[in-house]
Amino acid sequence: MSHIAVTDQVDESKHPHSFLTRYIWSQDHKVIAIQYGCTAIFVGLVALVLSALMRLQLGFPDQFSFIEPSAYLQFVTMHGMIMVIYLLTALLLGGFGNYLIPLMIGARDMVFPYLNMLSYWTYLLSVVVLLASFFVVGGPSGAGWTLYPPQAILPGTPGANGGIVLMLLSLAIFIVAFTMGGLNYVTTILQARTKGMTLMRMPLSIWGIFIATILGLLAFPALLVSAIMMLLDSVAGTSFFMPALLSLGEQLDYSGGSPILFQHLFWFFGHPEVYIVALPAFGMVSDVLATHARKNIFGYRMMVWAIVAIGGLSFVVWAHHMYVSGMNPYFGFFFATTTLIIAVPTALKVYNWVLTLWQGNIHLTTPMLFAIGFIFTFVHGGLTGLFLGNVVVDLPLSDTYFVVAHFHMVMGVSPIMVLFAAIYHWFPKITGRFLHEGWGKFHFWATFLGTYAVYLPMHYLGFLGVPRRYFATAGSDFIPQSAQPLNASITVSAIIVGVVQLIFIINLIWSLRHGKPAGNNPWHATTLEWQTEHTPPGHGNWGKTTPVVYRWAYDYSVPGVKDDYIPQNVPNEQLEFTDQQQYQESQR
Amino acid sequence: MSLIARLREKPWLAQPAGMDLALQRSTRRWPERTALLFMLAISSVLFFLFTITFIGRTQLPDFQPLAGLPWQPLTQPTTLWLNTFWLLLSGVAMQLALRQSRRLRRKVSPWLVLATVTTALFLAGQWWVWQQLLAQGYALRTNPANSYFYLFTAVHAVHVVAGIIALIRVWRHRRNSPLQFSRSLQLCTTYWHFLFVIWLALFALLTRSAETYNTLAAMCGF
Repeated sequence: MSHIAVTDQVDESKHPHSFLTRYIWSQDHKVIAIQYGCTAIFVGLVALVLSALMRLQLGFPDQFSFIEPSAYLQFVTMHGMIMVIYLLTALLLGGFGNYLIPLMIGARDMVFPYLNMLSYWTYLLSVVVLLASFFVVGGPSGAGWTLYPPQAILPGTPGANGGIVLMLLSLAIFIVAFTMGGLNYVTTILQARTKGMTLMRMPLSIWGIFIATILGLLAFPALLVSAIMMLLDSVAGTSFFMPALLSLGEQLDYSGGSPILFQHLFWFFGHPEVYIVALPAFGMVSDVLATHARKNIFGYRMMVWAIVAIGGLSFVVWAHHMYVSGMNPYFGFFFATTTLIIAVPTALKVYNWVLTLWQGNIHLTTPMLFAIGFIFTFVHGGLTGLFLGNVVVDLPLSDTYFVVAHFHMVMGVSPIMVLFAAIYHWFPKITGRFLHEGWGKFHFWATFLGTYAVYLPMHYLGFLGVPRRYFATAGSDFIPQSAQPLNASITVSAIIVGVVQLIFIINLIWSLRHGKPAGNNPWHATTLEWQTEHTPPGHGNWGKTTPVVYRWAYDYSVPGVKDDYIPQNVPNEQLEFTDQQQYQESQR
Repeated sequence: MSLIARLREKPWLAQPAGMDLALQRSTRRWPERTALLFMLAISSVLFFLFTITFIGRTQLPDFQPLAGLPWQPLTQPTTLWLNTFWLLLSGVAMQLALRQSRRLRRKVSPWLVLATVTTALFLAGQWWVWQQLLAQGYALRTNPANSYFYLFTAVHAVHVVAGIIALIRVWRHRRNSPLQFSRSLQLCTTYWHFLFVIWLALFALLTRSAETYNTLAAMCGF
């Protein structure tokens, strides 16, 4: 069997030798992870620039002649789509999923390395197709990231000819790439765990990635279905979603389709997508918090159950994105209820993170700062979610800046905080060197305070009724004059936050060569990826034999034991005690 | 151990030396099978979602079913029955090939040839149905029922072609190891049966009358 070679023994003949096989057409999960990561960060920067352009228009209307109304809509659309799918999903699952899964469960690689490589290159193709839409006639789609028909494919919407077709194609290609990668992740987690690594001994990072991948595998088909059908509507003239309509005074060939059907399909994907992004972040932040607070994660089992419960519930809340769509009012009642129910396991997780910190030996390293920052931003975004989850409160707030502030807090800033925490935390394993700590702390404070300066005022704008996605709101009576200086201040803050990210990028590049050498286990962490023979780990990850796991992932500050951490691969016989009786009592 | 029992473990308690059940569990691994099961789940979800949108679409006024009344093209779907027979036959051939490979006999290839040929006949038959429909004026965009017919059969055909490609790959590596070969063949056979079941469901769905669709839609709450 091929997998035996992968999981149990090193096959010397399979080590890549040339530059091409080692770094470009690599089948090594670590290289693929870095490829995914770099590509995702690159498109993320493109999306960041787009958001800065949008903000320039909103903060200083009519000052920048090159930002036309249609261009503004295109920036909105591409910013949203890139950030949600091509950056967050790809970086969390393609990047960190790929890097961490085999290392954390003690495998030599993914079970299907070739498929893994294919997944990355397909992802890259989807990115290229998406970015190509900037260069076609009419530019990229300006339909908003939700791509609602009928307007998404009608003349009058920017990019209705080429842009939307490329967007839908790119999404379909991305889904194929994700499916190949996702099959690998779940199969590797289920089948390639090393000896002693039971499901309940897995670090929460792996649990988060595991459940998020299952969500992705089952939810992305909904996007694929809607993309295929909309593509046919756009290219072949079918009427799956397109109703009979007049466009510019002319009767179009469409008839009878249902735009609401698209919304249901889109959000059947779109809501699980929130958790596809959030669950890996939940998992990774748990590991960062436990490691840097030198304490076991509070309520490990409850954390696992919460992840599973959130995963299940995330499939029955989708229509809370559609309260104003005109669907049956009883639906609103049902989906508001499920939305409140899903808040329960989510709140449980937040309590457990806070309780993990309580009386911990907290080391305020850069990753820890970002992890704690995440708790703030996530609680903040989660609470506004409770407002929007209730129909009567949502109706007046729908499509205002309150919504923009909410979802940026909860699924923009929060996962990004975790991503930064994760990059600062695992960079020493990936490269063997620390990122610069001083610049890191500056990066944290500027980003954390900066995002609050951006998004806190947006809640207020939302209460005023300032609508989202509008190119200009000047002359609207209900919006007071004071909204404009607020918008300008948001823009200035946003641009400062954007520029600060360059410091992070420079830090990444500089630290590759000049960072402080880290050694194998700089954070004194328990999980397996820190116990490799070499740092960065070589091809095949482990030396002659894969590690054997004797304990769970959170043996920090165990009473009576000499060190304040016990790696997962250390058996009880090798423990050094300061007070054995205290240890015995703690294990009862 | 059941899933519930597994999720109820208390991993924070230290296991005394020699008592750690986790180290005694034998690991029987078959990652390809796990991956296939997930793959089938994903495909099922895909067809399920298409079906839901289809049932929703049947309730809109411009929908004209392809079957039900005597003059409609799929009221007596003879060609589709023939295609169903080809796909069934290929599934049986796959099963027989699998039986041969498990008994380490050499008669695998003829059955695989039969399976491939009948599957190809199925695809050709589906193409023929398309041509018939087009000739009768049932084009892709003239009615949503037609759109869905082409869409469903095309997505199913893509699945069939993927199966043939996988089978050819397995076949080419048949000399590597007999155990590996028969295991791979088993996965292919499972996939073939899946294709048949999906086809039966699609066949049943696409050749119903308006009343059946109304009943289905009422059951789904549309």
